[in-house]
Amino acid sequence: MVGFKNRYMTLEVILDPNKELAKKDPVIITTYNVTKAIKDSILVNFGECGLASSLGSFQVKYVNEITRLCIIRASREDHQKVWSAITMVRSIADCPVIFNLLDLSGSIRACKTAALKCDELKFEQHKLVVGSILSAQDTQKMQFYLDKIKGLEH
Amino acid sequence: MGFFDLSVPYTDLPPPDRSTRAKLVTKALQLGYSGVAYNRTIKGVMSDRDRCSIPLLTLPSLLKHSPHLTSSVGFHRDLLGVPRSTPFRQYTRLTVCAETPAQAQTLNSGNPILKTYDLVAVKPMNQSAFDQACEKLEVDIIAIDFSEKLPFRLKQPLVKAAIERKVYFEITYAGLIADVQTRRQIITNAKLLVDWTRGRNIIISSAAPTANEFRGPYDVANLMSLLDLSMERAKAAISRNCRTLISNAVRKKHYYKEAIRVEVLPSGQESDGNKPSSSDSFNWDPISSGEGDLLLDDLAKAFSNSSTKATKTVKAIDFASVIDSMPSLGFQVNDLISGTNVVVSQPLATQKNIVSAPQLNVQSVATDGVQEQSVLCDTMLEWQRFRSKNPQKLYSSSDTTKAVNNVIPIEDPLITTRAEPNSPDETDGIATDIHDVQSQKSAIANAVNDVMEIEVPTTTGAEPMNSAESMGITKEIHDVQSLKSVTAKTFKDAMEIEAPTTTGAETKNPDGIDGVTTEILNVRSQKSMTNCKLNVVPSQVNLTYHALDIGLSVACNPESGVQVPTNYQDSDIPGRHNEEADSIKNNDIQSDLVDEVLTGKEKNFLPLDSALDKSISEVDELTEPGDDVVVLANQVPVLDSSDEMTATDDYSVANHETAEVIMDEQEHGKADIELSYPALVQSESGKSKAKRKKPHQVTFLPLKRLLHATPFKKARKSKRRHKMA
Repeated sequence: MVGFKNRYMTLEVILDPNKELAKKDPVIITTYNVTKAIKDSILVNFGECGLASSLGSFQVKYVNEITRLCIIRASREDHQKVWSAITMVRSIADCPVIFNLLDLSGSIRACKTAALKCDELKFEQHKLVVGSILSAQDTQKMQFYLDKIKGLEH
Repeated sequence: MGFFDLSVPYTDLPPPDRSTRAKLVTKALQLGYSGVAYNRTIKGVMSDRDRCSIPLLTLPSLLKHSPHLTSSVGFHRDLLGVPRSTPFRQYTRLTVCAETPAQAQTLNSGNPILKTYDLVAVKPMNQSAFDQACEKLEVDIIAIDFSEKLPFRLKQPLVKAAIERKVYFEITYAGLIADVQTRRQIITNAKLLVDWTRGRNIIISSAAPTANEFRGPYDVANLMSLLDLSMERAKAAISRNCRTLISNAVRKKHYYKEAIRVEVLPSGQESDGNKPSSSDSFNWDPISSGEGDLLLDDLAKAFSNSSTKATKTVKAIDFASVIDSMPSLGFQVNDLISGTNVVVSQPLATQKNIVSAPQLNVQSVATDGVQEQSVLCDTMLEWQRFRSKNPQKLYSSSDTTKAVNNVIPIEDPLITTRAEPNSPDETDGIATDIHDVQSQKSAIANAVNDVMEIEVPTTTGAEPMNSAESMGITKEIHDVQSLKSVTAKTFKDAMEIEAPTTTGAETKNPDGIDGVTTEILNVRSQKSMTNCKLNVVPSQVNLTYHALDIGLSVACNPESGVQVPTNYQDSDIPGRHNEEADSIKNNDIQSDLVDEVLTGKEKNFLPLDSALDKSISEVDELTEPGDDVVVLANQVPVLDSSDEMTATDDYSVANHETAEVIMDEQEHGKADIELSYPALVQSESGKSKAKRKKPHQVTFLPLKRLLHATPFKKARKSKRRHKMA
């Protein structure tokens, strides 16, 4: 039997909650950004040992900057710690953010289905917000991202 | 189960700060919260200036901050399992900093200033104030500032006394997120509290100064794991505990001695229309003076006692938008909307008023029940959704307590829903019926019998209003009537009424809807909660098994042995457990939901019921069995949308057999739930009045059954053995 278990968290990042109707994204979310912010948070809250023990399985698997969705993997033992650390992240590169968990699953497959659904719904919302300025490029990128989700492996 | 954040700071500062609050509330809405409470802190002596003057936010102001609120709200609510149509509620809260015992003395129930707020909290600053707060003061919440070194000790006996008095301790999480030093202090101090309270009676709120420190409900629950609070308790702390708190507080505020609802009636006919806003009878737990949003449209209504007109217009808009935004449930919404016009409600209200005029109690109850179109709408829609989509989702997260709470509020709306003449939609009728049933049950548990009885006349008054078209309405009336009559006489009358109604319903609509209506009637008629529950539960389970056929058969076969109904009563109770398992197996969402609701109700009402049952059984043998039968009958038809009469014949036969078996099994302590249910259904539809045997047995056995919950399979086998034997 598989002794080692992981937890896959699907989160959305809410940028700049205080600003009103930010038309332009203050910060672009990338894998690197998110990883750094979360690692810093773990370090501050759980210390060196906490960071070291959770770093083994910790990985940001997928980030979509248009819909601001990310998938993060953590080991089952530490996933609650990592989740708390993520909740306590206040900013990414000087832009205040809120991480909100959408789905937590034990397998990558379940996570993929949930993430696909959330991504599509969020993209619809994004289209509403952006309105007519929606570019074909964005749609293309979305397609690329959706494919990326489908290709995720653990 | 909705999530609440009971501490959104409010200050009297000039307008620039108001936008912060609006942003916060927008964020809360978006993250899926169902309600917030604006918290105002005062120190020192309370004066008349401190009366509640917190303006509630309206939907337009929130939309200003985020124009696409509805879509994101809907998205998050779906993820959290909160029904989309849950209104967003706004409450007002006052936190009094108590330093000296003299200041603390002002916090009693006689203080008029406190009455203007929905929730009252005390913030003790020293040991003596804390002692008083735990033991004597009549507050809802004890809020301790954990970000500083605690000026007093949390002693175990004091904390225990506070928990017994149903006072909740509050932990705020904004400090955890904001600052590192604060974080340290909070964790150290709050951990003490969690240790002493063992995680009970705790509510979590944000006290967030800006929208940056706001977090989603599940994230907050996880943060509490840092304080050694288990995930389950943490989730309860942001949902169930808050809801209990709010319902208690609102009840204290609006009800005199927990029975009579006091409302300020605006002058003129508009008052009726306004009543729904203030008397959210359907959902009178979290009634906020500023009602929340409706469905996806999230039209927040800022109600005040004076703005009747605004309420009306808002309501109208809500319904229209509801229709637009809810395509899948569109027909229901339309029905609701057409039926739930303010104008419509008014005649109902007047009717009710007229009927209940002579009795103060009745009036109060009636007014509650009369209105709340929005509530009605919501409940109906929720119910519809429920039935059409994933009822499990809606209910799976709810505890029995929640169910109980829901039941209680539903009671009133049921009455109202019935009264409404415009519920053309069958499903609506069913939904209302179901709601009614539920509410009825809760009503029974909570309301005084007298009140219930009074309601009966009210419903009869409403009867003439309802046209033949709306079966649900007529059924409601019957149900109300039946439920209310505690005495045997009333029961008989109810039974009689029900019988013809059911038959009449059957003839009209072979559809399952008829069954539904009959169910409701039956449910109502049951005097005791347990009876109702039993009946409901079995019927649901039965539905899963013999959905279509049974429903019709029940409706069509009024003559079922009296014995069967009685048996069912007994078997219902034990069967309930099995049924629940079965229903789950069958993925019958509806039954699950109902079961859950019922179970919750049952658990709460069982002690009451047993007592009631004993008395009732002695007095009215006839009534009890009839109710059960009726209930069962109703249950079955609900599921069947396309019942056919032919199938019923087969079932009736089976039912009779099963009924007999059931009786045998009862004695052995095992009830074949499956079999019993179809039998029950049939028997119910029949003349329940005719023969009632073993009423006494019925009352005692059910409890026993509960104690010895047998697995489904075993029961089956035993049943067969009995049959063979």
